[in-house]
Amino acid sequence: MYVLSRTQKDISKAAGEFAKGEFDSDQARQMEQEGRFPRGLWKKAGDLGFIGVHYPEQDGGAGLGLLEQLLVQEAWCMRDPSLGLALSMGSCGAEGLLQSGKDRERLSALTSGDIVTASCRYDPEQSEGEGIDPDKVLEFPHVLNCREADLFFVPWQDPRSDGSKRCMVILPAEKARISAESRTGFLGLNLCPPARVGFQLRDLEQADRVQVGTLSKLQRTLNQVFLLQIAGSCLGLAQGALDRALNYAGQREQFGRKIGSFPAIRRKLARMTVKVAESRLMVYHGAACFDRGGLKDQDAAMIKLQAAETARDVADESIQILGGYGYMREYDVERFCREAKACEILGGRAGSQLDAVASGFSKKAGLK
Amino acid sequence: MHILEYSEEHAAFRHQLREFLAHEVMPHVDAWEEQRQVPREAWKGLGRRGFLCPTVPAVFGGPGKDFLHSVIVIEELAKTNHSGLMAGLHSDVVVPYIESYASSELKKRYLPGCVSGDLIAAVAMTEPGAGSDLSSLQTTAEERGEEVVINGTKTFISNGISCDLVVLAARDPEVDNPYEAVSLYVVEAGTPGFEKGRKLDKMGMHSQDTAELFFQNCRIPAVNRLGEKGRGFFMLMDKLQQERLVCSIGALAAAEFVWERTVEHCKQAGHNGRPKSKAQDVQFALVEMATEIKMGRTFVDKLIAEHIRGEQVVVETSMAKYWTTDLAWKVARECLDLWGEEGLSEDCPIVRAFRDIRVMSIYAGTNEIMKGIAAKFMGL
Repeated sequence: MYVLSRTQKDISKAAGEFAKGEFDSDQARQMEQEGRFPRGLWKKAGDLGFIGVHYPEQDGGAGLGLLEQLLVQEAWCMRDPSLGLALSMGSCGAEGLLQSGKDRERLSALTSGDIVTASCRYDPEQSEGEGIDPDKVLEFPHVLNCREADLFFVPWQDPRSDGSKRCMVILPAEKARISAESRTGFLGLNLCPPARVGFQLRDLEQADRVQVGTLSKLQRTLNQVFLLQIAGSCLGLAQGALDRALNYAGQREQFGRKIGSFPAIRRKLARMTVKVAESRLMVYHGAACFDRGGLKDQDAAMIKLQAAETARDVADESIQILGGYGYMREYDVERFCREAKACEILGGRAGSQLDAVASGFSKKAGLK
Repeated sequence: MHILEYSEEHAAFRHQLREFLAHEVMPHVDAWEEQRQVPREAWKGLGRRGFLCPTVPAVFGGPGKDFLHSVIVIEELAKTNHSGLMAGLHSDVVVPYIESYASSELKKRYLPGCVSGDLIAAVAMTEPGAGSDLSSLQTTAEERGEEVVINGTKTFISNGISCDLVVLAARDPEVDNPYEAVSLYVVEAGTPGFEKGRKLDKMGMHSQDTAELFFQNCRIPAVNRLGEKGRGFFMLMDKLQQERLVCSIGALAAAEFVWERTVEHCKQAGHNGRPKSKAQDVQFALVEMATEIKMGRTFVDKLIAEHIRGEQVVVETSMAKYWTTDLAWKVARECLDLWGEEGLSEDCPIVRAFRDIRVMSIYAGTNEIMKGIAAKFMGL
């Protein structure tokens, strides 16, 4: 229903063809158990220009918008939920490099798929050591892709300065002290699993800083991109799960007819179709607004909430339609369901997205 | 007022079971989940202490207790947060077929082992092409004098790898009407022609050895038929009330478990020092779930009481199966949200519950089938 340009359609199609040719779901299920990032695919995706579609051309990107980047992620997640998500999360925080405008080398390494980045999305939860001891370690929770990342983007505040001196610093992997957040894997996101990462104060002080603009502005941008990327991936998850349910309902026969011909299943599928269409409109429109510089934080939160809940519900119903087969890993819809639930939790549960939405109307409603 | 009247003896039974589970089961659950199998010893442990087949009479070596003992076992096992040791399926779904329909010779042969845990039982109805539509099952049983020859494939069979006995539904190829063609047979593991297939890789229930079973010219004695020939469908129908009730009891107990663990979590201090349970939205979410769980508890307890009195509550148990399993899933989903990003890790107990609970609205007849049954009985 959303009007895409010819270029946008071509990009979506190309990403879908890439996924069709390169993604192996048997392998993805295996990689899920090993907690391994698809490094080989990342490189191939980089070679074909699928990483950083929204970065300027001089920075190694395609000079297009976030909408085009999300079309790629949607197409990937439709084909395989775990591979799609991992590849979508391989450049977390890298918009920080764009902001500095002087880091062409790292950007081109990223867009060509030679490096992977990770972003510390939360302030440090713990610190080990006293005051301004240079050996002191600050620990950041729930950082995606920690083990694989070559570069980390870390929000940081010099403890010796006043509160205004917050900045974003860039640290290489050798400075990161990673500790696992699970002994036995994760509900989803197993190809880019979250972990806790610690950095020494000394290293944070000496690290490269992203100096452009204020940190709050950069963090807002990073947060919006992150939320939209989850939303775009969720759109792909929802569509992929719906496609599998439709395919099954059109083939499986019980009681002498195709199960898709039973009104209860037909309407279930129709309801899923409506939800996916809603997601698509919100995600595409939100990304287009972002590209024009007009996306509000509350809108990004709203889009993430809607897309994640849709993916969760649609994948859940897909399992139900596939019945016992839906519960088997081999049929993949359970993986769509787990990945969707993980996306729903990621970046804050419904409550925190709703709070962000509420802060959008608080002033108008006289609640502030 | 309590709907179910648990005596002191019931309370003692529950206490003993809890102690047993705390010492003999809980410490091993993580390993069983990883190994995708519960060891036979665990079944024997349950059996030795009288926790298997509580209702089998003493004459067959059973404890000869009432169904409330079964309820206690199902509830307490649900709170161990794993599905491998599926005693409810063994004791209250499969064994009742043998207890009700087998010849006294077969009962003497099999029931003591089922009680002691030396024999693990499974039921094989579902086939690759016959899930919701059981009447389309293709597995054949040809009775040739003293022998029955079985051919076919069964799938999604719980306890499939460890089972020693299978209660199998198969049709007489000579009879067209599916409702008159099906008979039930007890097939022993190890019978030539009966092969256990691969252990199925599932979203959850990892310690549960769900499998495919293959029968190729598998010959069993004709005396291993349960009840009259061609009456299989009626026997299945007769036992489904209890099966659905067992599912409801397990689902409700699982919902209670998930809710309780989440309340504990929310009451702990968060990293900002303030427990999540102090937030109004968290409070409301937990209260709403508790309300539905209590409503479910009232309904299920009433059905248990009616079932024990021998009443026909097949419509209500179908409703309960669909409603309680949906509830358990909803509670798992919503509780997991309350754990925040901590809920991404498999170390969070709700993640396993989430993966395990998802199948409840599918197994033992999907919830769509439950609604269809209820509609039919209501004359809609």
